[in-house]
Amino acid sequence: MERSVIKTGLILGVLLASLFNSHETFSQRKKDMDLEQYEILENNYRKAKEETIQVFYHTMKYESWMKLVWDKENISDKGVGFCTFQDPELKMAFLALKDQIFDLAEKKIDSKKLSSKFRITKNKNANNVRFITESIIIGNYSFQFVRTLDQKSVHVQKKEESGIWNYECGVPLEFDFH
Amino acid sequence: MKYNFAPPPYKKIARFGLALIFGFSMIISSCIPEPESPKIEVSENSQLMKVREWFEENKTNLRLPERGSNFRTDAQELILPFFEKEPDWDNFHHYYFPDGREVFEVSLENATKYFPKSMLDSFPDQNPADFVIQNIMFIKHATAERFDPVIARYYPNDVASAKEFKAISYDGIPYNWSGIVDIWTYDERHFIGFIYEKGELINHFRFKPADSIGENRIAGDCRTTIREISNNYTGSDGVVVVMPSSLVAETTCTGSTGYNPPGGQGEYHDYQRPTCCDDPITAPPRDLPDYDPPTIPSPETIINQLTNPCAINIFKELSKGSRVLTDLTGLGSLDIFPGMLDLFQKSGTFDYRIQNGHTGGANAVTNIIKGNNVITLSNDYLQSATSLSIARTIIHETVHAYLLIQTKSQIDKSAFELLNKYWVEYPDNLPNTHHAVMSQYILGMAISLYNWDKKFGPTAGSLSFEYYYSMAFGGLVKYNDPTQLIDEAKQFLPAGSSWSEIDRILQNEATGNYQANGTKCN
Repeated sequence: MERSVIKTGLILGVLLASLFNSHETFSQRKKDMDLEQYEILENNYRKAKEETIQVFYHTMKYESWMKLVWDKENISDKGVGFCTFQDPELKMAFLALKDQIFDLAEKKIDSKKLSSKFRITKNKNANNVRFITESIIIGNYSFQFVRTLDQKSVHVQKKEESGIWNYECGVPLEFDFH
Repeated sequence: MKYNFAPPPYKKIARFGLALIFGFSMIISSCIPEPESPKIEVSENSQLMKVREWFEENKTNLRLPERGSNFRTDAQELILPFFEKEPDWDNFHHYYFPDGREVFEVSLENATKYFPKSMLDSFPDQNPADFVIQNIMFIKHATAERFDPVIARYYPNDVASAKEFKAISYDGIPYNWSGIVDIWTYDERHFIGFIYEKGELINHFRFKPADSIGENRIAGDCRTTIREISNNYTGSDGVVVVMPSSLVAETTCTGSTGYNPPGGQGEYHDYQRPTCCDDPITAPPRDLPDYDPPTIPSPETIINQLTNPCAINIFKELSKGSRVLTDLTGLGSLDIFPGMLDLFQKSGTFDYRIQNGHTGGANAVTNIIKGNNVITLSNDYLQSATSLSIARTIIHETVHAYLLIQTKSQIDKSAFELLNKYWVEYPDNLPNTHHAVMSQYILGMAISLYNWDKKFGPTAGSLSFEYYYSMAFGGLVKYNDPTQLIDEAKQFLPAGSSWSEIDRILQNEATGNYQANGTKCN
């Protein structure tokens, strides 16, 4: 009787602990990014000169700075950042993106599904660590927000008819020049 | 049946276990970073609401009790007919005077606009009133809970200087702007006028009585001219109503020495920048005790907010350009600096500012503040560097600003494409992207530096061109390792030179040591 009560208490404790520690253990239960999102992430840095791309181990949810994309100082009829709106579909996609950023979810990033160029870290103060969102796909365009310790940006890719994602343009949002 | 309220021992253990786990889980949970908490931002609009409320409450105390009752007939100072002020609260500028007083400059939507009659010649076949910007400046009192309003009127000299409301303000006189900034008290007494030519404040004036022959020449290089003020206005039906004009005497002075007006009358000062800018203008004598017009500093030129005298001169000299002076046959047109500034001028938004201040250790920083490309030169750097180094840094930072404006305007297709190309190689790193693109501008930056030194600099262009060329590599470094030259610049290193040698030259000039060829600026 005594043992069974202790056992029940411990089981309940473990259950409660896992509930309260849901942030820490989400990788066990939260969704993984899908393969296409891994492909897009990989593609953002395919031509990067950096030897190693350090990425925080889970994706970001919505953060208020993301709205800077639609700040009148950044976006115009011509485009935003290094993106031009020559393709009206891209402009429409950017407009649609505005509503979708609020649904960004925390998803785990599995290093095994990325090339050796990537290093996944739990150290948010690691040198050059990038905090990324899952990619949002709207029509033929994908969008991925990235935050480093001192810069913020968005990467845009376009899906070709062949189904291959190609880097389209970037949108730097916050930075300092020295 | 007896109840034992003390729990049995095993229950204590179980509860202790649960409490321990619960407590432990809470400790761990507390280490998890919270999502970004929303920042409380006091919006400009809510501050403006306070100004509006204050104005609505006090505006009747600010105007003349009866129109014309306090004309001082003996002085004949310029007093325009009073009219009710109707601020357009949706259009405003918000800034601070150098002494820290907060200012809201709000557009006046009144149809009545006064302007110098000379504008009729400057804007033939047009209604000059359409080109006059008329604002009310609410200057927060330094200690009391009140605002001191004055009226600012901007009279452009020509069509090129005609601006929209957003493009000109008392703290943002556009680069290259020519015209008059006229300040009036709320009850329409002339306060002070500032004369601008090509963005430079060249004089200021106040009205004084005209003598019997309509001219009142005084000592120094000053002259008094009769200014005819058009009182025409556009009626509610859009028809221009022609009214009798007013004659006033306006004295302007140039020259380097001060003077005293004969008979001790008048309030005119020869324009000398330090006197003008360090000595705020006080209000003219007044009859109304209820309204106390504030002291005001000179208007600020939007492009040049430097306070370091040496840096001010270098920037102005660089702006003038000197492509005709270059003896580098065929390369004169590569003097990129003046052209880059022109681009900001032509953009009509004047989103470029240069200032000095604290930069956290860097010689200079460029960033975007409220839509303006703001270059800040380090105060410490300005104290130690040679003028040659400062000129180089201004050129470098201006190219950053140029590339930022290209990102938005997409006018220079070649620069825009290069930016996107290098962004792919330096993702999430705009400084490296810029430095990679700027490698293409090394020769242009070197020519700008050479031309400046030849006409204005300490060596009059006597250094070898390779020296200027080497200096143009300054700042083209990797963001995360500033000791390393960015890869894209390496191909442009002069034959036989290494980055370490060039870096030494840059350090010599930046610190103004004995090996520097330039002279210290301080």
